[in-house]
Amino acid sequence: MEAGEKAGRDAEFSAFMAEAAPSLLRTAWLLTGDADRAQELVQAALVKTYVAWRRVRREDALAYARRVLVNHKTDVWRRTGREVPAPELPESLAAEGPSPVDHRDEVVRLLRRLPEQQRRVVVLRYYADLPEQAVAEMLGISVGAVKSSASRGLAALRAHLSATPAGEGSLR
Amino acid sequence: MTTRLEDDLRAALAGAPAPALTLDPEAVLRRGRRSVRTRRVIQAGVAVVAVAAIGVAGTQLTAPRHSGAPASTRDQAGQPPIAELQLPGEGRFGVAVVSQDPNHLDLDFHTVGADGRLRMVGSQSTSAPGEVVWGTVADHVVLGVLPAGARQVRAFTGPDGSTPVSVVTAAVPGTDLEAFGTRVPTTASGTDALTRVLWTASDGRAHAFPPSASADFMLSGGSRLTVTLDRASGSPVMRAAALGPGGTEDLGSTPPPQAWDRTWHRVVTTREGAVLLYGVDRRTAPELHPAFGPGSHSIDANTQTEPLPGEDYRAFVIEVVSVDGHAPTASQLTDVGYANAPPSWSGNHYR
Repeated sequence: MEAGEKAGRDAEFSAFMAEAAPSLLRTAWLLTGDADRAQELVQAALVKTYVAWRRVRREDALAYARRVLVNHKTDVWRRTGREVPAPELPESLAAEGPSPVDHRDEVVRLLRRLPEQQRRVVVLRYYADLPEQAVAEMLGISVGAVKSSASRGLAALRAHLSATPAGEGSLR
Repeated sequence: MTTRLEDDLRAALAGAPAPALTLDPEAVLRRGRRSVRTRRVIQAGVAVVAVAAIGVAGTQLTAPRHSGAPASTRDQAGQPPIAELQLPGEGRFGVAVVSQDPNHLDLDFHTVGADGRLRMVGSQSTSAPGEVVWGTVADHVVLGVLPAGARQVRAFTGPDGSTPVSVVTAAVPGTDLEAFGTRVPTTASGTDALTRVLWTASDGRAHAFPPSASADFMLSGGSRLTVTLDRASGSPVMRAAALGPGGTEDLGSTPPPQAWDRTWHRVVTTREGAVLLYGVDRRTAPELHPAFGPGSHSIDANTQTEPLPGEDYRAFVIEVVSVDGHAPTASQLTDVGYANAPPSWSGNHYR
């Protein structure tokens, strides 16, 4: 590759990175619940996107990066030998009823208790705001599986939060 | 049409307070450039291999196309080297080496359709590539790579690494890697993680990843003993360390006996004064039985065994316990044998 072409590619990719990183980082954090793993995941996804940049081009780049991100397994096994289990929900949270801000935080914690596919579907559908068809293609599953995963994920979240009083930010 | 629940969830996911999340754009560019360079080298190697292989029958993926990816993200020229694995009852999978260098390894995992088309279902990357890297796809299929030429590949799952699972392998063309795949059992508590992989290298040496397996024992004085079987060098070594009130004491390394008949063991006296005979033997070995030296009527022994995860072996420790208040000595515990051994049992040589 010529130096000029390479510099142009890097500049173009850097602009894309600056634009996409906040959304990707938040998606990764919602998926993992862990800041370090989220950053590691996004870096890996962006490196792959850089490698594929000539074919991806900007219009597809975010979809491509997101696709890599949600299908990527970090090497957490290397440190722990197995997936890190999500912490159990403290009884007191359900009993006392959190404040609106705490409630949002609690939704993120509850996400980690969902099975992996449900968690990915919920984040892609309700954070990334992707249509069912796009989520299905991204995860390599059927639209029906997306629907059932979303439905089960929502039901599980609702069940966990059903004891909290309805108020601002609550899920009803 | 959206429900109130969905709207609330959207708001919660967008508004939940997150920790400071940062990204180093320069690091991404550096790694990206390196991957591009490495990929060119790998592809050049693959092209040479492909030319040499024309006319030779073998497993080959036909016109791979990534149906699940955006249409413009893949093309034939950009296809990384890939190995195909046929997992009985699960179908065909592909392991692609996207980039590889001493500091980084990127893998993509695919399912392979009846028409040979690929669908990416996962990926794995590490900035500290060891001898083996793997990831889980489709909830219960583990795909990964280990060094080329590996044979007699075995994998284990379960909390104590005691459940063997069958493994299929295939060379990744143009690389120094062998792809492997296995199905891990699904239990009531979820899918078992792969604990360990063992294989025989082309030089005949037995390797494992992770390279060491350990077992912990609580001793009578409250100290802890860790016995480790380490295969990092391809030549197994047994190590031990004691953790007591005075800190950690390295009890040293012991190479295996030339012909390991029954047990591989060592007698030590720790800094705390504990007399121990520890070692490694077969998981299926009969009951351990200590042999005491002359004048040892005032001592007794506590025997403990623990399986070594991902090994056919277990670790054991026999701790001498004084029954008359006198400190035991190492000479009082001379050897170890087996009680109630069936006539057919004669131990095993280490591999």
